[in-house]
Amino acid sequence: MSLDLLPPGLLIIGAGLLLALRDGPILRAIALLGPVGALALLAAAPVGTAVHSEFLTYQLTPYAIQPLGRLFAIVFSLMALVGTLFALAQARRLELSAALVYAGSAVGAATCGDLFTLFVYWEVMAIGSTLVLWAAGTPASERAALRYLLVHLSGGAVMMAGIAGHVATGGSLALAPMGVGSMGVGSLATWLILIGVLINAGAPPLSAWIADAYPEASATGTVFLSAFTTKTAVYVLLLLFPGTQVLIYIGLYMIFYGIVYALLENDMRRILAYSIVNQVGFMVCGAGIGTAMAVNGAAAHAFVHIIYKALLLMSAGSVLFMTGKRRCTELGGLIHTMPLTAVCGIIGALAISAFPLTSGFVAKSMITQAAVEQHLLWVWLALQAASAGVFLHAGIKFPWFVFFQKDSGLRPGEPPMNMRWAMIAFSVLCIWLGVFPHQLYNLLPVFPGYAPYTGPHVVGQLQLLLFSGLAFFVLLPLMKRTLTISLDFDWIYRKVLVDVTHRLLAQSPVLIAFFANIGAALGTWLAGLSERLHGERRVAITGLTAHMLVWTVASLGLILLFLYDFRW
Amino acid sequence: MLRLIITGTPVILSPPARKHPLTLSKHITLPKHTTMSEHNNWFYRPENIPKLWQWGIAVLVLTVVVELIWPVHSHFAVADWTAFSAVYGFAACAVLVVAAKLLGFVVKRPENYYATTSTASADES
Repeated sequence: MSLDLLPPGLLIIGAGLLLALRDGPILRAIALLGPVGALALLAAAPVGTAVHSEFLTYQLTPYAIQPLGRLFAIVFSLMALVGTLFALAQARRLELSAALVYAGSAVGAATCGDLFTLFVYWEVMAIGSTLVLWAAGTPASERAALRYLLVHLSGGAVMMAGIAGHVATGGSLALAPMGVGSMGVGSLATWLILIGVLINAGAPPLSAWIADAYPEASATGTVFLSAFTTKTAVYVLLLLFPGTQVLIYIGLYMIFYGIVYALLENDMRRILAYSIVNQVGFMVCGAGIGTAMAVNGAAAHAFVHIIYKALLLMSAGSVLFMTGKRRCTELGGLIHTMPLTAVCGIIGALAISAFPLTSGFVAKSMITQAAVEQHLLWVWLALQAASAGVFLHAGIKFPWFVFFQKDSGLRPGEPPMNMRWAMIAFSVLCIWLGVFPHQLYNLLPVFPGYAPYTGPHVVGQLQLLLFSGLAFFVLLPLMKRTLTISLDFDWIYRKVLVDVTHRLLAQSPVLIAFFANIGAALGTWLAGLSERLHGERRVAITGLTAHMLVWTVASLGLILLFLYDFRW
Repeated sequence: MLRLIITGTPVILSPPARKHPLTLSKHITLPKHTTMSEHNNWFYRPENIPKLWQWGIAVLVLTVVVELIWPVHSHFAVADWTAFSAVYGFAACAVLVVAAKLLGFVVKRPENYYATTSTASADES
């Protein structure tokens, strides 16, 4: 097999598996070569490269390079490289190896050519990211990882149901735009695929999973988590559902949801997690507008967003690593002894706010420009208000409460060398892409001819942002930090359903005993079966597995009934 | 300050939060240059706060004045008003902050909200 047919994602996954087998400083240094190799392969692979294979009766394309996917694969590999550098000496072995497998599958998802392969990478990403979260090793992170996994496995199941329906009704496996009507997508199957993708993008109503899970990961783990899942979803939206009008409204909802919840938040990393929803909202909106300017703008925005969001979370991660604190109420005044971390955090904050001369400015404005070109006045006004809000909730709030405000008296030093270099690398990139936007525009599938640095645009943007800054300091008394969390949709499954279940169970001990007995009986039967087949009883039954067994048998029975009905 | 009366003699306990920064965490070290003054950083000197405001306001005025020299011509008529972005940015932020404040009354809960409910319900069952 020649080298240009080697999928770059596999190199990164390989590096992760290597670390899973053996760990050590030298092996960790070697693991850095995975993303480097992937970048080299991506630089060399010509657009149009494709590897085909047969699976059952389907023609699959496990590896394909097309322009949009290449852009995402490049930034995913870059993120894997700098993220690994940031985590190199500090992350646990499980975290680093899972992060590389997670990153590699994201690269794989961006460089595959059919829905089945996409789904496989999609699920490996869910498992990899859950392990990254779990590797933090705190009770909170374990519970958050379980909730995270449930959301993503449900999303994956919905997506697979959609893919199955799509293929069963004669749809193609190819990754091409799916039939778009005026208000949305056509069949039930395409709706299911869209819903599955939107769950990973952090769309309503399940947006809460991002702010629930990401801040519970380790100081280094959150950096990886922020980059891949939501942006892979954006990639698939841009590829399969460009111009689906409903996405404009979903995107706008996400934008304002992210701002308002971030304003209420006290945990610095949860503020940044909410701002992921906000930023992905811009991209979803771009996918909804669907013109060449909007789609390429959303892709460019995803590219720069991964870099500055990782930079912000590296800065926050450094603070967490050095102080062990994450609440704004406990931080402040860190500029005294962490000037480098502060400067890097501020560069990330300027970039996310789309200040001129940063990467955010040259990318996000393409989406607003697309709204202008389509004469969408209300969308444009909402996007402008949101741009002001981004500066308010992330651009000033994060640096102000962590590095300035009231001096907390904390005097931590700068983080270790590898963390510093990772932050410097991404800071330079944020400025570089802002000063030389054509480096970014040249990577886009289609560059629709856009000049970000016009007098009116720069002046308008500066007015918008600086007066938002004034609003922040004028309204500061209204933004008192409180030791609170904010209820979200996850209240339904973390509180209401839990309480209802417990109340039901508490009132019916007979019912519990009934299920436990059936489960135990099934377990005994399974044990007997195992004894007959293998000669030993290889079955362990606990209360939990007994319940699980009952529900599994019950749902399989239901499916059987359902199919039986269809046969008739 | 907390006063404890032990065998009739008042004992004054200093608050624990003001301990030497070195004792806060094993990660935290105290670089030498910060031992001299708590607020040797430019941003923290009290005499610089008015200067920060003055410079800030000067920059704000400048961004609006510049527009008088190079008028903005955008696609939408509303955006061509002088200082539209400035007013709009400020107003948008004010609305968002107030909206967040109002929503906060409904959705804010103590930090251990979910932790306490899960243990409470575990106790029930």
